[in-house]
Amino acid sequence: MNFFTIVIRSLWRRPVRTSLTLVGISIGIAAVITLVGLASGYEKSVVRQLDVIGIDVIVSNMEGGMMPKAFEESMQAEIAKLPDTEKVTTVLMQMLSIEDAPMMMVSGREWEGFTWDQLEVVEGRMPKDASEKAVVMGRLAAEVLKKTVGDIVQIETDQFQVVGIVDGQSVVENGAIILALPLFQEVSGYQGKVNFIDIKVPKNTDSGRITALCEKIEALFPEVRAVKAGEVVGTSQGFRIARAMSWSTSLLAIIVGVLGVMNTMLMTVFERTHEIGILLALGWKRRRIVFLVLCESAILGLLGGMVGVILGAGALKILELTPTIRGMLEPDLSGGLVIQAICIAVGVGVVSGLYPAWRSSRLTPSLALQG
Amino acid sequence: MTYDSPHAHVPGPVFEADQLVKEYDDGRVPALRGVTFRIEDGEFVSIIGPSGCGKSTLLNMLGALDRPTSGSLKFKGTSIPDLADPAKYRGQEVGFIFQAFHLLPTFTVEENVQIPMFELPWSRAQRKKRAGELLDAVGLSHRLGHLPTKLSGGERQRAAIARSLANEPGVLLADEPTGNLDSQNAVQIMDLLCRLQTEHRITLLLVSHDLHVASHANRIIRMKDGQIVSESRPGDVAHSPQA
Ligand SMILES: Nc1ncnc2c1ncn2[C@@H]1O[C@H](COP(=O)(O)OP(=O)(O)OP(=O)(O)O)[C@@H](O)[C@H]1O
Ligand SMILES: [Mg+2]
Repeated sequence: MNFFTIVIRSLWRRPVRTSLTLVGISIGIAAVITLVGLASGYEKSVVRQLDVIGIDVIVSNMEGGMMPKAFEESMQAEIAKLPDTEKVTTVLMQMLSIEDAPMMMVSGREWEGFTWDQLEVVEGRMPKDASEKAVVMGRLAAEVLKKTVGDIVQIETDQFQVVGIVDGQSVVENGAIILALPLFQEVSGYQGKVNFIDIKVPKNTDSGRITALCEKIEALFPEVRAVKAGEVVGTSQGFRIARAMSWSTSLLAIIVGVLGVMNTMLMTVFERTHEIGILLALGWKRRRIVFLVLCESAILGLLGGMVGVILGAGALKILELTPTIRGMLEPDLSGGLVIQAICIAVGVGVVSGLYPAWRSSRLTPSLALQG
Repeated sequence: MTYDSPHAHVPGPVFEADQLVKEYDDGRVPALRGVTFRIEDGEFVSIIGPSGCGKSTLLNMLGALDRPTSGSLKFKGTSIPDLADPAKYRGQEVGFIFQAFHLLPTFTVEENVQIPMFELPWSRAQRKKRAGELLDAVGLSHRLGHLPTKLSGGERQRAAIARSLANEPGVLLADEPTGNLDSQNAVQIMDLLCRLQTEHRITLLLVSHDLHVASHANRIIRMKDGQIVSESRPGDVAHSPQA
């Protein structure tokens, strides 16, 4: 028998209560894993999308939250005149409810802009020109909306023919409906407006020059921000909000977990007053008793964390397979997130054990033995 | 010599109490009302008296399980309430034996005996070995792996005695060790305690309300209403200290 045996034995003594407490913590941790995993998966797939398309700089007005505000498309011509801009193209992107899908990315792209280039036709064809009333669908979007080539899709007030299914090599692209910019401007009521300008710089342009380009754009047009593709996730307000929201929602769940563990440990200390009296009479230092209580609650946290990670990973898997989410998000469960979650769980355990441990260390041995 | 102490090595008292007072509930319950005595090394002293006279309270003060309200109480010259490390004192200088045994119910007999050893820098194997030896000495080597609930009262008290000796204390404080036992088991436990007391040259303080049990001692202290009323040696005519 060693000290650890004593810790485990105490937890094992009340299996039902111990397991209920574990459930409490694990739900909190599962929330962390799921929400943060979704947010970071979204970030990752956006980064991959930019990389696949070959976008080096994004110009947008990010003040509006998740989707950037629209601005005049005439800005494009001015930006194209700047040095180190090989290709400049405009995009109007919106999240819309399309038929049965509550949220779907619709991307109106400047006809013959470079953002069309990486799309591989899997079935059917590309639109003939900018005026054909046609869309192509990413393969996931087509799957979610159950469309094949030749079907009609309703976007806002108008109807379009699906002429092709495309593979864009990233989840974001494959989950989108793509059409020529003027068509989308008209149907969405944003005539003459876009909300992204995507820039490709010449190969091997060094990072300093790209930064200089961004600064020039922002000087010319104070209402927009020009961000290097690699920094989009870190700087954009939308991503920050998504991340903050997922953490703060998780925090609530974690607080519930803390209260659960604290309650359990307090009950444990109260009903074990007599036992703690015995330990004190047998010469156990108060420090050791405090440590015993803290170890018990830390282990509750650790076990709860491990169960929570498993639950969270399961939830992410289910979400990944859910039709409405599929194509929008690519959940990401990184090792770093797992370690973070487990550390939080152990921390929750230790913090919740502090007060009960302190209580236990204040007992007078003779009174504890009587009670 | 006013007492019989065959194993007293260190001259001078082990315990020295002077006008010791303990009140509970902010003075409403006076449990000890000015108790003065000395106990020498190696002595076997019984404390007897009616229920509620403060015997357990006195033993708790001696064992640093509670603090006196006033008066002085010394262990080998050091004030017990002011001990720098009361846990070490409880764990290594004294051993406790209780009427209700106070064994931990979720641990086996052998594990119970190991509990006091956790404050010593012993390995797991050393603890196990020592627990085995102690249980052998009290005749429980066949019960090592049993939970206390599976044991008879006499066996439980023997396990508790083995535990009290875990760290080789110089003093044993026994509060009604036979109080929950039938007469036959009581005799066995008293024989064991007397044997251990002589073998290990331990100072033994035993609380009892049974004169027959108490008379195993070298000296008997009688208490009433939180005070010492008389002291005697078995066979002596009782005499009052005030007389
Ligand atoms: N924690 C406490 N709070 C209040 N009063 C107490 C407390 N512990 C003991 N007392 C009181 O102090 C007095 C002495 O109690 P103590 O337990 O020392 O008696 P005792 O001589 O050991 O009696 P018994 O033979 O019944 O064990 C009693 O009146 C008792 O009610
Ligand atoms: Mg008593």
